Amino acid sequence: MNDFLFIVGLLTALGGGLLAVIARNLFHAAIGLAATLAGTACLFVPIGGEFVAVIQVLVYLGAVAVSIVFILMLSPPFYLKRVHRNALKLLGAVIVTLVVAVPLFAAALAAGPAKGSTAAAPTVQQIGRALLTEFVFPFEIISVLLTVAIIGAIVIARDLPEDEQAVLAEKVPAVKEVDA
Amino acid sequence: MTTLTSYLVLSVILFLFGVFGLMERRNLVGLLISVELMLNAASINFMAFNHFMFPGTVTGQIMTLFVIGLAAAEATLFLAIVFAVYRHYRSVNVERVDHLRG
Repeated sequence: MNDFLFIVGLLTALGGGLLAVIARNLFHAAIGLAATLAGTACLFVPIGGEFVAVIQVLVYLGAVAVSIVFILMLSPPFYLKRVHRNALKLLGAVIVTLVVAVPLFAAALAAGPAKGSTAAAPTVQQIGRALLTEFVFPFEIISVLLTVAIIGAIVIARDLPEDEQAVLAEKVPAVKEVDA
Repeated sequence: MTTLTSYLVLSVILFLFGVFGLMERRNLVGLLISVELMLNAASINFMAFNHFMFPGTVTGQIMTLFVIGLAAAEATLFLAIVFAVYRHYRSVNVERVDHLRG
């Protein structure tokens, strides 16, 4: 059962990740991201992370991925614009990725042998207890951060008043062609 | 099959997808998607190390919960910034948003 979940999660996560970076249509990329997040939730189950898997589906898949799809649906369809492939930039991206890949793979393969895991997987009770005792400070900071982020998002995304828009229009020359 | 190395290698591959997307994408939303991939790879690492190296503890799982919370806050702000940038520049191509270029 665990091996089955691992294989399913691995294929979903890797396939989704590949789609998320190579899809030309950004909507497909968002779907790929959603697949990766679901696959990751699958991967958490065999290593005793049932609770985290549920939270991953609820928050990551249900809120973050959906909000990305929302912005693609609500905005002008810039995600349909074809990007001119620039061979030089593509080559640069591949080189940077390979340079980053070497030390990361070395570190992953050199990771010490796992300790024999006989302890039972942590229960939700343990996680809740740790959140409200040992980690209560970061827990509270995160709640403040989320509130600030929501208020900040509203402030940034709101419409500017007319006079400020006029001032801005003088300063920022209109970009005619949209090639996003 | 579910060993520490297999989880780490999988997370490295996902992270590299993120790096490649970050370098290659020119669209702000595409960049956000790549960053989420990288955060996700970090979560997998935390979970794997928690389970295989420190069985019976919950620290790694709680770190993963914090990563998820931070990613939610980050995505909210990022999407608001995308709206604002699009309104000012009529484009979300990062190469056109260069008014702060030194």
